[in-house]
Amino acid sequence: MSVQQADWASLPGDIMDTVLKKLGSFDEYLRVSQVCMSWFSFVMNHTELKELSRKQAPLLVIPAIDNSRDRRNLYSVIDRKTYGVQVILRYNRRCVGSSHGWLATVGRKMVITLTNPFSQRQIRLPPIFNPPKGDITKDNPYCFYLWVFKVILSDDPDLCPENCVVGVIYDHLDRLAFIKLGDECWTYVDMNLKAFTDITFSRGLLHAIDRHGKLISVDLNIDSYVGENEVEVIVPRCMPRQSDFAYIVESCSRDILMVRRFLVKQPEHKDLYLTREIRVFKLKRNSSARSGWIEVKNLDGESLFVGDSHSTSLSCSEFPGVKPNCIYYTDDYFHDGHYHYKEDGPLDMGVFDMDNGSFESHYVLDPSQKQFPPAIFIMPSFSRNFP
Amino acid sequence: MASSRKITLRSSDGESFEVEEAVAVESQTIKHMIEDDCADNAIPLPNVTSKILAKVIEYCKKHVDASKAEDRVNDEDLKAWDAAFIKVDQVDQATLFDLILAANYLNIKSLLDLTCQTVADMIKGNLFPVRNEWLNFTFSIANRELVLVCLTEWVAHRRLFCS
Repeated sequence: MSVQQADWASLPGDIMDTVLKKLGSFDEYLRVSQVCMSWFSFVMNHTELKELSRKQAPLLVIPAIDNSRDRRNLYSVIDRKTYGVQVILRYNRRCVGSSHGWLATVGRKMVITLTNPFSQRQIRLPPIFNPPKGDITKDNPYCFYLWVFKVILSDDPDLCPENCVVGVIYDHLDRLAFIKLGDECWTYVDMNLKAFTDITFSRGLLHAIDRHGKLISVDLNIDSYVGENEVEVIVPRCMPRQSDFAYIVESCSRDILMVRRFLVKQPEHKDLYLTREIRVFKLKRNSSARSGWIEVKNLDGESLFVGDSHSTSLSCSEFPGVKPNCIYYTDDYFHDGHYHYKEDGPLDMGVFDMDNGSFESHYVLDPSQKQFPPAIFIMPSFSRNFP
Repeated sequence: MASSRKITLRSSDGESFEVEEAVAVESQTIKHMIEDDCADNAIPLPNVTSKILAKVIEYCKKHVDASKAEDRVNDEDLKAWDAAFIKVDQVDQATLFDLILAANYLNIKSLLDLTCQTVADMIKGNLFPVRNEWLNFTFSIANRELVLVCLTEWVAHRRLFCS
């Protein structure tokens, strides 16, 4: 039965509203937006749907179940199921960021592109670096897909186009840079500051963390100071152990949390390391003495999502289905500028329950897809103001 | 005993349907026309073809009969009848589409609800093929200007008119 029998695109708005009220989940609304241009416009301009999508817990962008190199599927960690709906992403490498519903990818000319896979909007940023000329092979640190480690946004570019700032950890030394949307040039933070593993925005500042617990903040206004951004070292290197990964996230109650992740080699496997220890620390600010980290054993009803994506904290009372005091993580192995697919694929993802100390899996990688890009969290979004 | 008044409805293609007033006023639109005293002659329904009007009348008649005391049909049986009435193999998509528009125009809430639920079920069942190829808007932000590039709208336009 062919859909061309009826001109569904011309269904009036109030009838579309009635139909939409009978649907319940983000993937169903997304499916509506993919049927035709007119329904796409309807969904993208629908205020209530926009609000509804913001209440959906993060989804996981996973390889397409049909192995398509242009599309990805979505997996719901809450419902523990793969949605039938696919999104277009014409990029078959690791995404370098996922923030406010936008995925970041980096192309050959060192151009970072932000794509909202739900609205299909794209934003191209100026090149972050001019690589040396000549053929650059995959083990060369100037190789474009090794050059950018992480990209985050301060806001959804559709909601705040005037004030949206993009923060980046780049190059083989993991330095920091940022750009305001619409500007032509990147601002590079002090070149001596390096080896950062995560960044986040908090209170108008860019914060960055490294594997030793060092926390800095960068003032994004370069107008106030001649030529240089003010950088404050909030906490110097202080941790006795270097962690394999470290994330920085602002909680819903506006605390700064550091998440330290440790991998353990699995016995009887040649090259399999899995996360078997996660520790969370809260920043204790102290005006008179040094600020420092205090370990916390629960998240007060919040949960965290970490990995290649913008580290996020959700209040479980607002997102039913998300287990409280849990840390959902994905495999974001990216070692010293050499990104090679691990032998068994990017398997290291799961949920750490702080209450009982257990590690569980959510999405399980299909072994036939171990050469596909790793899964990454995304916040569901329907952008508003679509023309 | 009050005799049930008959109302004549005329479809867009000129066919006349005589129905009991109780059936006709399942449609709020027709009910208001009667109340406004416009129903002396046939009520013209320029938006509804005879084929669709026949089905609408069938639906309304069943629902009116179901609520009559002598003929009371229980809720489950009525739901089953509705499901059979609207079943997508019985009713091709063009008919379903026309029924939605008719139910909307005639303001028959329960029929509109039934048809919209069917569309919702089709969406859930992935019965609408995806047109991802149409969705390819690129915004390049350079010098604070937005440049909208709409490549595949052209492709879609071509497909529609040149196939």
